[in-house]
Amino acid sequence: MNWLIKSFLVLLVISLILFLTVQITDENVINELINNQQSDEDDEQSEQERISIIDGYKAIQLDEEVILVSGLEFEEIKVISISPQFMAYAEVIDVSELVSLKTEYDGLIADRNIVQSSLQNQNKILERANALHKAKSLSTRELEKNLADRDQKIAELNAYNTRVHSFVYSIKSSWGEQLASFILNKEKQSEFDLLASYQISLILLSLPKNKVMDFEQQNVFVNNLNQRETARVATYLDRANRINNSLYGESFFYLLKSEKVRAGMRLFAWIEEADTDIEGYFVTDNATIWYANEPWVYVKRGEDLFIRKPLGTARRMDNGWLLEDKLLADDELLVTKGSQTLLSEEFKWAIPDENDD
Amino acid sequence: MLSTLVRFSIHYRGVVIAIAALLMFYSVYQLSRAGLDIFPEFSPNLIVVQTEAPGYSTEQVEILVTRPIETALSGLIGIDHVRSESIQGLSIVNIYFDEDTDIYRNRQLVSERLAGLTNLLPEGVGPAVPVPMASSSATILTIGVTSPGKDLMTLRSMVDWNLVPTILSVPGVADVNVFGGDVKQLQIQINEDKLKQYGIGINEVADAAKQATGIYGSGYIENNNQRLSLSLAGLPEQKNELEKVIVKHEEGVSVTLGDVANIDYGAEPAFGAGSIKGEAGIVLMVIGQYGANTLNVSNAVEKAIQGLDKIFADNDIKLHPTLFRPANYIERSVSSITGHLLIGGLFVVAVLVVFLFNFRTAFISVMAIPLSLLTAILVLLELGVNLNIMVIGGLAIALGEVVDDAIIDTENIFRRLRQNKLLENPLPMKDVVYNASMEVRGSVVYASFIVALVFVPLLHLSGITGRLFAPLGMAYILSIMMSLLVALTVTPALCYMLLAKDKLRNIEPPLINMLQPYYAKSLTLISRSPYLVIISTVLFCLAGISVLPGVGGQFIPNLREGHYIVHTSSIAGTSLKESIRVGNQLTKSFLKIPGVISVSQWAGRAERGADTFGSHYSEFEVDLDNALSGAEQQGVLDALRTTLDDYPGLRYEAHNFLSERIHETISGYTTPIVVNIYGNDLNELDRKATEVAAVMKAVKGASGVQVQSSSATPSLQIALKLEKLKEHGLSPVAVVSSIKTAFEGLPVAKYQDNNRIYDVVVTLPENERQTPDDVRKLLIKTAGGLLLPLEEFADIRQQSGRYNILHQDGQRLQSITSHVNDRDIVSFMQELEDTIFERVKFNAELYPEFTGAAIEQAKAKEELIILSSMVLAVVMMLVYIAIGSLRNVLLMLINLPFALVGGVIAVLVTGGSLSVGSLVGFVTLFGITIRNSIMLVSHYQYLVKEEGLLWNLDVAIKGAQERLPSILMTALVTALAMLPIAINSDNPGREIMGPMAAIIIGGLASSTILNLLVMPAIMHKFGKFSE
Repeated sequence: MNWLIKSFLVLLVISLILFLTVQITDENVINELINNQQSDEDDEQSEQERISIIDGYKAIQLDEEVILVSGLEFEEIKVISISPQFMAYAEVIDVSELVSLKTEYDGLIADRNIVQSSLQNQNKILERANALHKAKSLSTRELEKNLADRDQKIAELNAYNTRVHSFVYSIKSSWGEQLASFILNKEKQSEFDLLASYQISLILLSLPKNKVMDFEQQNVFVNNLNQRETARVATYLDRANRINNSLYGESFFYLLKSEKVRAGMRLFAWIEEADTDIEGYFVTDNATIWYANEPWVYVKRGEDLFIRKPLGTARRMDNGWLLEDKLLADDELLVTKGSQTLLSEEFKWAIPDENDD
Repeated sequence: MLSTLVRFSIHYRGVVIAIAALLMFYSVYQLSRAGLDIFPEFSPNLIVVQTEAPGYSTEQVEILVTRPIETALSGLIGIDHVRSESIQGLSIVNIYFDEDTDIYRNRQLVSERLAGLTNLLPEGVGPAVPVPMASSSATILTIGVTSPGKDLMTLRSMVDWNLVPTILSVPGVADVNVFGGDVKQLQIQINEDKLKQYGIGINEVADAAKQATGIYGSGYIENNNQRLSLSLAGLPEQKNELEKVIVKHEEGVSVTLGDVANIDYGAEPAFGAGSIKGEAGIVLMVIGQYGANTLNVSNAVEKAIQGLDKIFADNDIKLHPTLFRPANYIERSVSSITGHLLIGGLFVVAVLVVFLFNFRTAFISVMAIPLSLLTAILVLLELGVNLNIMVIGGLAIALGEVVDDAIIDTENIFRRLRQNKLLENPLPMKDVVYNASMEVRGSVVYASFIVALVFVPLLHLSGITGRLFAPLGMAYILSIMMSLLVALTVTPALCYMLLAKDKLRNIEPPLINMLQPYYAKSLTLISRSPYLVIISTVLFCLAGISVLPGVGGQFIPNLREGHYIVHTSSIAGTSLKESIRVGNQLTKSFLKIPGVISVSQWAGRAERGADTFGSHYSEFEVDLDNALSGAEQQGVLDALRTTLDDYPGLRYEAHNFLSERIHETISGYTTPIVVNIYGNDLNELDRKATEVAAVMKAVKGASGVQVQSSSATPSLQIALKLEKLKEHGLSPVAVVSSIKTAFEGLPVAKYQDNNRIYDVVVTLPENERQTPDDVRKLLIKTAGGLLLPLEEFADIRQQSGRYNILHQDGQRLQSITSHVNDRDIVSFMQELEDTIFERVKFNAELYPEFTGAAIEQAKAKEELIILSSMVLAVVMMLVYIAIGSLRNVLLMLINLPFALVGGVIAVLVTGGSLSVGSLVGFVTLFGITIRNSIMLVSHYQYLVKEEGLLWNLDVAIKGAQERLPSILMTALVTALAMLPIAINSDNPGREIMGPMAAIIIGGLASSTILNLLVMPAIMHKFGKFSE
């Protein structure tokens, strides 16, 4: 009997222990739930704490180990100096029109010279006729005829002079003083010959409509392959009166010593914008991220701080940007790999969290 | 009928045994041919329609692609609901059909509707195609290829033209999702400088390429005698031929494609990228067909791939054949379970030998196990049920029970035969076997039906739970029914054959002899203080029951598959290259974790896949050492999470494969509270969602409130200036087509190289498709022949666009989700509804819907309660028929809390978490407990009714003593059969069954102790038996 009662008492104690265990377990479960919740909230808070504003810019703080694990790469910011230049469009002009004009002009001058010499001859005839008339050897009627012939020659000469004048005016107005001089000026014959034989090419350079030449009679670099390195110097000739089309701004004639270009060819031209080089920080495209319609970079300051800075005023270059403003500090490192990851960390709150665990 | 069956079996014992032997043989044969799978098909009745719309924005895809598809599909018979997602360049429409409809018929209906849709979709879009029906587990195998010497384009060509067709030719493979590599194109890469030089526009180049490469039929000529078809040749196809195609001819001079473009192979704009152990490569996910068997298909795929070994070796390509092989888990699980079942089987034999002390009886009882289980498997296979872990689970938990009917029968026959020998005039053996068998028959039949019946609600569970656990229930019920059939036929036949002529020693088995006196003494003592016993027992039960609400819950325990899947997401707009870079960093860290043997990553999405992941999204396959235990695998998961927690700019999920599949299968949100807002104006939807979220946050108990809006994705908006276009005589389409050609690429022809077909595409070179400046400076040719940058005609600004637009049943949708802490969900939902309607204004075109997993669970719970109540009522009726007294039936039910307490203790001991599997364990336990009670109470009934004894303490003790062997044996057999599974349940193959087994063992222990010690006292005190 005692054995049985003891057994039941043991059973009772077990029941109580079980009950208490359950209560504790229950509490533990609740605590665990609360802790999990708390832990989630803590995580969010710690994410937010990592983001701060420094010098007006968003900054992220990361542990050194995290930086290492995440494979972020950074380098010293390079200061480079460039001669600023812009690109324009050029076209090799067909000079056959100039050659025709030259021929036409020369022919006109020759014709005028003939009339002029004919007038001189007529004047002599008239002189002799006057002498003969005074000596009553020639009739008045014959004298008047000679006079009329001379007047006709004068009129012819005047007509030629007018034509020459108009021709010159026309050439100058359409090709400019310098090119006109190639046609009109005998001293420029040798240059005209080089042009006509395509040893020198005539180029019409048209500036983009929002650009102007920074200084007068500036030489430019041109080639047909969009390769600045192999571009050759074209020498300034004259301001052009013609424009290539409504797209472009001012146009100029240039001469290029090259036998390789052909009439009608379109060329790329580089025009320096200032006489002095400009200096700035070079930021590669790899380091750039776009946010809110602007390019930005992350720079590393100190051991663990990453600051996002704008490149708003930077000058676009091939494969990167030139930042003239002193937005970057010399002791800062440019993040060249992993900028998007840093942006993602900054905007981590915007990534939907589907982790139920 | 039962008596006829038993009599027939005894009479034609040879025939019965022969049939049983034949059935066993046939079952083994069929089993050897059957494949194995991880899980039953648990995906919903779903058809996914995928439509590629290259270059179209999210909004365009929604309006021009998704809406027409939704409209075309509306009204189909059997549709439950339609969800869609539109993202940049892709529309996915998910059509959920009622669960009881035929998926193939549904697919047919959808295909018919889609066929009429082709002309309604914009140019370059589509076609809308139903995604191949995949099995629930979907992934059959994930493999990868890398090469130190070959570039990604060569590698991808090899994959697309050799590897993928080989895999697709394997029966059971639905599709192969390919991630990574460069898809080869013959690109006419426009040189904008040359365009400037020659004064040619992009569209002119594209037109010239199109005109030169267009393929047309040529017809035929026919006269009175002959018909000759015209066959065209000489169209430019090769690179050097394309270079000669004329773009412009002026004054005798021709400008060719070669003059203005570089014609070379290039990579198609990528949807995704892949990396294997940090090395750039291609990841291939082999998708199994609906109903395909994972293990068989996996083996077949591996065999097919082996045929390509030489090609890979010759081309310096490294194949990674098992980045993820779900079949590994099946093999490990099956091997583990088979081992444990064998050990369990040995335990069973040992118990039977010890208790019956007769090898013949032990043999007869044991034979019930293979017979019942194998015939159950045969029936399942004939019904078309695939063998999988859940089916095996059902068979495993039935293992200990299928032998019970045979034990009860054999033990009773054995006892009666011995008693018969003592009679002066022994009855004929046949009659003794028959009578002894019939003596327990009624209770055995009722008990078996009850045990099977309690599983019926499991077959009717809705949703994913039902689909996962119904096969388990079916396997269990079938096993029990088969064991009943065996007990009614084979057991009496074998008993007669083996025991009738045996020299039966007239001695009780020593163990029983030893136990019975102590047992009788104990019962006598307990019966003297029944109230003390009852009070103690009630306290004990109350303590156990009070634990239940505090026990944590999970749907399914963590499966130890030896593999984890990690998803990471950065902010939308992150490039594939950066995602892969981040992935490679993570891979380095993951590979340092002990136990991780391989890590592969894919970012973005596959070309033909139904996923809507952007380039900011990555998935990692983390494969573990096969030898890792469950705890070690959990350690790896924790380490993965720690690594991911530390990584900047990432959100992640890390799951095992099943959780992953379940997450993917349950579309919609799984949080308890979801408020859906429907409307037309997306901005208005966003505003309302923000308002609702603010209100929700203020409701007491709300936690983790999230507006589930699509993450904003950065885009470069090109807003055309129509006045400028007019000024230059340009049509908007001319500008848009130039942009498309430049940045998306315009396919103009097909190009054949070595029997491989590639697209010929006009586009800009890759290095000129990278920065916003490239877009601004794109040259557009005006009607006047000028070449002007795009920025002349458009305002180009970076802005935030929508990553995706969601629809439900054709309506735009915005969801707000929340968890609930420290209060009940019903009252929270009520308060939330009231507050939202009070503070947020809605109208007919903008209205909320209150839903969530809690509501769905409540509905499911209600369904389950109704079904369970009905089953309980039927069980009670059966018990009443078996016992014949309502009072006794109610007293008998006391055993249920007894069982519950043991089960709860087992839950606490094994980790304190309830899963659906644990609930199945409880259900099984209740069935077994009721059966054991019936055995005892029906024997009391027999003693009083059949043997004419007067109901008193002596009879109560005698009945209990007589039932002691069978009750102890059945309990021990069931418990010991489960024991190997219950021990170390956090290991492959035992994760779901382990908790079930533990609960059954715990519950059986408590209920058997109380059934044997307390129940007789209670029955004596309160029971009523009369003749």
